[in-house]
Amino acid sequence: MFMYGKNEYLIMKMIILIIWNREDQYKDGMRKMEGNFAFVLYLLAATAGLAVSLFVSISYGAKDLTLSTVWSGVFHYNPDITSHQIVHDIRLPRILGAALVGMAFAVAGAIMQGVTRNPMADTGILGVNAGSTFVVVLCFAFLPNLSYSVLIVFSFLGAALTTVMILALGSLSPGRLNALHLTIAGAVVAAILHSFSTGIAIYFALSQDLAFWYAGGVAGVTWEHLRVLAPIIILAIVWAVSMGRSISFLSLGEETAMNLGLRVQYVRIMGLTIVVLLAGASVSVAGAVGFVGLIVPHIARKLIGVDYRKIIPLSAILGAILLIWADFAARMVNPPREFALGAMVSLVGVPFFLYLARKERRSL
Amino acid sequence: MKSKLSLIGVLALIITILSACGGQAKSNSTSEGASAGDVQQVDPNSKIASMSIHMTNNLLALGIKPAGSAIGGGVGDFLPHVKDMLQGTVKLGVVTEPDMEAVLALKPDYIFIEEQFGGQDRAKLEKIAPVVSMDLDQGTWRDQLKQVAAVVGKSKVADEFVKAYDEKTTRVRKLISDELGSNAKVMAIRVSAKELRVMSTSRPVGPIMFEDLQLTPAIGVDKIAEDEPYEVISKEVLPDFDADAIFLIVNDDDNAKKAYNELEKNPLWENLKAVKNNHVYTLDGQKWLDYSSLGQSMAMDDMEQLLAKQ
Amino acid sequence: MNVKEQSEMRRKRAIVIAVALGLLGAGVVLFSLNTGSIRLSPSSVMKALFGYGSPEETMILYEYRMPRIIVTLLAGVGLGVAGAVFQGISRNSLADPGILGIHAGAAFGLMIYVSFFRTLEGPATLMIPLFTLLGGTGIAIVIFLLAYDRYRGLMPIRLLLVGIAIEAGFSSITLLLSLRLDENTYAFAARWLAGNVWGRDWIHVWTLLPWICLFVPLIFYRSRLLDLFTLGDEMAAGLGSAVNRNRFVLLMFAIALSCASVAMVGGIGFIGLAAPHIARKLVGAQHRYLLPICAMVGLVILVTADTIGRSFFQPNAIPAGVVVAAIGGPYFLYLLFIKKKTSL
Repeated sequence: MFMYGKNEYLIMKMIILIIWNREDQYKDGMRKMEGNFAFVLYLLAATAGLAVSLFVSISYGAKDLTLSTVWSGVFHYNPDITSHQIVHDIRLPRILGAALVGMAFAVAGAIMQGVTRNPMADTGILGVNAGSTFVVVLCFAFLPNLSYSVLIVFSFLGAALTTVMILALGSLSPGRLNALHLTIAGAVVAAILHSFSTGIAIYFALSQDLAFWYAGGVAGVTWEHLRVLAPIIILAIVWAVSMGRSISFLSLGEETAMNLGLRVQYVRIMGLTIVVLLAGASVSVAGAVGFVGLIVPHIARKLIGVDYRKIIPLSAILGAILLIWADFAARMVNPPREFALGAMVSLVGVPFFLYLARKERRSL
Repeated sequence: MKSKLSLIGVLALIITILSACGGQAKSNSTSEGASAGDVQQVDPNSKIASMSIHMTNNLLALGIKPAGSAIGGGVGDFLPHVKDMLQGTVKLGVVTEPDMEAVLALKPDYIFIEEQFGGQDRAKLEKIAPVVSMDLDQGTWRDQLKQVAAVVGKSKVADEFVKAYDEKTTRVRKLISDELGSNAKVMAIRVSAKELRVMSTSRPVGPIMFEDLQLTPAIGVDKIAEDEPYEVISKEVLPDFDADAIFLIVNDDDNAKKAYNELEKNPLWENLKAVKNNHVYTLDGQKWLDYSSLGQSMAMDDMEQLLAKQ
Repeated sequence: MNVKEQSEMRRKRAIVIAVALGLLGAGVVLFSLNTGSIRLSPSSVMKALFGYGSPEETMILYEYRMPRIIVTLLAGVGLGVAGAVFQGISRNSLADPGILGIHAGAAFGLMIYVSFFRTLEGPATLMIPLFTLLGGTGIAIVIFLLAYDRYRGLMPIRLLLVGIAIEAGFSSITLLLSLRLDENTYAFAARWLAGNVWGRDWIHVWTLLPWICLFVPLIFYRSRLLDLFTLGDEMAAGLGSAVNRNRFVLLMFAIALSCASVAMVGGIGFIGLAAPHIARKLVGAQHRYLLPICAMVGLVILVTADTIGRSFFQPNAIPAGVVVAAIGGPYFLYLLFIKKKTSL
């Protein structure tokens, strides 16, 4: 049950895709493809925003510390002072963790939306989350006491296997593998795996443990996690940016992409590999934080058009900002009490998304 | 038009059949079935079905093994710490979804339920055997135990149980003050996969720690709202509690254990007064979180063992 | 072949399939009546069924097993028909009640209930359907209001977008509340959310029956309207039906049906999606035939799933919703991908 409504949620996304495909929404976006100046401006502004967010969120926390203490804790860490420990070992890793995870989910979402040509896609849609959760549930039920690193490997494996399975299933359909079939196969497979996970969890009485796993949160992030996480995520994002051109072409439609001389299947598979890397790594540390991958690329596209060379880096920074603030809210609404990160993301994300939807002028 | 008429006909038929079924069931209930009434006395050696895990624990504390018992919903089985004592007992389903057929198959002499038990389910049980209903939400576990004991005529056993508990408590209190000195400030923490919970002074662990063992709550523990069993708290303020000893419950799942391993390695944790002085006691969570006579008594035993080991 | 002959053919085909499904349904129900902790021989079940069994057998059959099965089959009918209506008015073969966030709303209602009362015992349990109904209709109304444009009316694309957002928001609050529950309550809530038939008493049958008996015929009388909607709004308007008003009325009926069913059997998603699909494969898209067949398909699926969940997985019975997805999901994939005709 963990994230109830998952099935319906996925099915709705398929429908949106179908409606969307009737029109070519990217036509007017094409005009925005030029304008590097605006992009640099937005990127600078976003980076500045990230810097401010980092500054504010590091400065304030459940424990009331003076600014000078906080920043001497960051730059002149003395392991014997309690306040330095608070800043260095609890606040800093969790904020950096939030930033990294936000980046990863946002970029994964952006790639998903480009590759599937579905503006409502995120990592949930190709069964990436469902696959990794399913394997994690299997591990809980049949191989308890697995070490953390082994569990991460299994979770990667689940995500990758599911993606391969969906690709194969999508290709089985009459005609070539296209974005629509991919999305539908993904949504249905995700729904099936999701219900299998629920069944196993209920049968083996694991369900509340899994609810926690699902709720998402960065409070437990440590420097050790960051040392593993940071290289994977940053490399994957660099890779993603380097593929931005191909993804933009693909997002214009398969025919167009092929006319432009793009190896469609290759780009698709590489894109999904990046997604598996990003999502697998961040889910293993923070759980499945929803909505970031859906909403952030939307904003980025609104700002700078449809060129994924620009969408991906901008999404990365915006995603980091969103999660930093969501985590900040989770800590600071009623300190020292804490709230679940996922709920905070939704609280920020839902109104904003509604605003976007209200502005949606199209009437089918 | 024809189809409409036939549709109405079919519907009417269905309704008639259904009402017939319901009616039949009702007429059965009046003609047969044991009379319930208010059962005041129950022979402790009779075949008892307990439809609540709290009731089962109270019966076990009195030395009565029920022939059948409800199971815990979370674990889908008898609670781990009493499972050994319930060998041979029939599982009667989760309290919210009792397995009526299993109860019927058991053919119990009496069925023990809690007052809050669902109305329809109660009516069904009453047709199987006399139902003994008690309100186990009121009062302390001592009151609840005595209430059950009065019905099965084991009040003496209950008194002895409470007396034994009090003696144990006195011993443990002495062990604690030997270890921590008097007036030590104590807090209880529960670690789950994603959260760090500080337990409040109310149930389940408040009464045993702060009333029975007369420990002093660490700074801020008494500020947690009375009706909340715990509060989720930021690690940043752990040092502020300034606890001399920490009672620790780690949830029984892999993620929680990993979360605790991470916490243990954190310099902030390592520098807590209680950690430095080696005054962190990892409790057997199931016993401490079970606010029943048996659970609390087992929790006290757990504490005694932990201190004896030191 | 003229039109009349063709429609006659279709009618015959529908009747044959209805009879076949009816037999299948009866078989499943009989099998389900034989499922339980106490082993009763099929012959004693039959005897008890017709009133010749021992008092004990009669009690098992009429008080333990029968109400539960009737709740299950009523809910199957409700979910199947509601799904057909949703797909009919949205002209979208992938639509289902979840689209309006009804399931998420119902789940939210349940969570509010269990968080507020903190008990699942006593007479308060009868309030659960009320809470799920309020949650389901409440969320549908919120989505409607937000998706409604003063000048353009209800915009389907906006409806879907708003639906996603609202549903995601409510789901996360539901998840948040569920983490605060104690183990027993959580176990019940988790099972409910996964689609567990918890209604097991005659009172539950009486609660659900009026809804089904009222709204299924009401919808059936409007089957011609649904056919018109399938042709598209302009066509429907051209043929003289007040499009928006009728769409709204039908939508309300479908919401009521699915909320009532969900209250008794939990969040079962796949039936509303799969039953109309299967029914369409069997008898075509004409709603006069589609709706009754859909109801029967829903019934067969749900009763079968519940029986499998209870009989093969002991002691922790698996919720029917999980079984439905586990069987219905692959079948759905088969329909979409392996069979050569994709009907999207």
